[in-house]
Amino acid sequence: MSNQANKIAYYPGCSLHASSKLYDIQCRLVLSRLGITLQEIENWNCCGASAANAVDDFLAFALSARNLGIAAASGLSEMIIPCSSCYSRTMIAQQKLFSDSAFKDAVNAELVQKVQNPIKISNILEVLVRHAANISQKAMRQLSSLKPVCYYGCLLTRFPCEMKVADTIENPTSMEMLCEFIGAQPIDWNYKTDCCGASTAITDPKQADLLMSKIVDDAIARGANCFVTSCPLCQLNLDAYQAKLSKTQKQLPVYFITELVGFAMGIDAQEMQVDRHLTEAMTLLNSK
Amino acid sequence: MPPAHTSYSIEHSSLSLQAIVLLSGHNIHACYQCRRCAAGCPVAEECGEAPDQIIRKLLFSDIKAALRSSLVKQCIACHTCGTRCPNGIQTSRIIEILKQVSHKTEEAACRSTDFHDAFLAVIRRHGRFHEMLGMVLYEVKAGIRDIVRGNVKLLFKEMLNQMRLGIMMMKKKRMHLDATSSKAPELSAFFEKYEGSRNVKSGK
Repeated sequence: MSNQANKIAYYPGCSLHASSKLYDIQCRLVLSRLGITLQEIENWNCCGASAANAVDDFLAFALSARNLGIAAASGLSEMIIPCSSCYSRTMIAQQKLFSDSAFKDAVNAELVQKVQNPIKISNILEVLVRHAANISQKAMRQLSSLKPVCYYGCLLTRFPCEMKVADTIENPTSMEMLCEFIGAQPIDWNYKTDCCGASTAITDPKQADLLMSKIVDDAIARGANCFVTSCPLCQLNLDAYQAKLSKTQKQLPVYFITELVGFAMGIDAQEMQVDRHLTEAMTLLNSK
Repeated sequence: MPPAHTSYSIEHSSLSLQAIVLLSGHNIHACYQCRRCAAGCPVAEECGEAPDQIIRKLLFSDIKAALRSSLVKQCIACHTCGTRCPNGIQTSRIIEILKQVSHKTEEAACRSTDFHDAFLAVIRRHGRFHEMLGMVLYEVKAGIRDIVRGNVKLLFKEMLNQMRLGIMMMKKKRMHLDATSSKAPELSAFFEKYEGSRNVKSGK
């Protein structure tokens, strides 16, 4: 029985099965240390990310609805979605489906596993915060040399509709709290919920460079020695393009929150594949 | 007093202001032009246009001008505008609707719509997004557009940048040749519905 209580449905999303596979590994490792088992929902599909909603409402909502139907069929009461974009799209879809029953019926007509009851959808920060006491108890390393700026990005707290959000919309602090629990010294800054440019890094690099350079410049000006984030696209963008933005400046490692929490709890950096970062990230972590 | 071009709403009756209010679920009429959305928009400077200007065009029922706004192409959907609005108007949601309309009527074909098309083509086929396949498809689409427009230099620079990134990611094992996929038979029905709505000019 207690096993079932600590089991959470898990929607990794495409990114965590591809370029951010390391994040998938870390989420599983860290949460299992905290006594949580992740049950990946079967045969999930892409949530449509920022593409489906730019072309058609029905398509955008139906893609996430299918996943919600599968999650409901798992019988679990909560689903964790670490990717900010997947989290946002699934939250928006669930809200639409349960506020517009005609729309829900139209989508359900196309689904094998129907959407019936809403499921609690959580991002990784919410789950970690819930276990903060456990984390600080299990923290065998103090990451006191780390001065991270916590980077939340857009989609964790801002929604294009009325939505109950787990953190403060314009000034979230849960990541700072987690950092303090493991001995790091998070630095206050201006760009914690600003946009990294997301897919414009590919389609409109000039725009993305402008957005990212503001983020990187502020982090460096404030004396941070790393970024920490929970969004795989924010991580990849800052990780991949920092070298291009600041050729003369030093480059900061861009950690996933799971890397810092995991490392503090004694998980090996190699095991979490921290060596797969595009901006070197092993040295600072091991220097703690 | 609305200007003379109010008649646009009659010409494009299927895309009336009322339709956009209904589709987006947001009461555009509540806007009192405080411009907090404009102050928060991270791309307004680069676009030369801010979210409040789209709202203004819509309130004048100048749907055509709203659809032509540079923000419809360049909005990154960060949702800052809606978060800051004292009247709860989610302008990014309204822009989302305009993006959908302009995509269906092919008014705003550009790099970002190429990217969306490539992305969706991959998930239609595989159920999930395969990064390398998606990038190749996108580069081909955008490349053809560049060649047609004679932007060969831009195309060359772009290809070089993407290859550099691809190689860097492969070195660090962040890019893979094998695809993640899922069997999702319902997806073809979703996409057929979408294609159907696309053939009807001007969406709903």
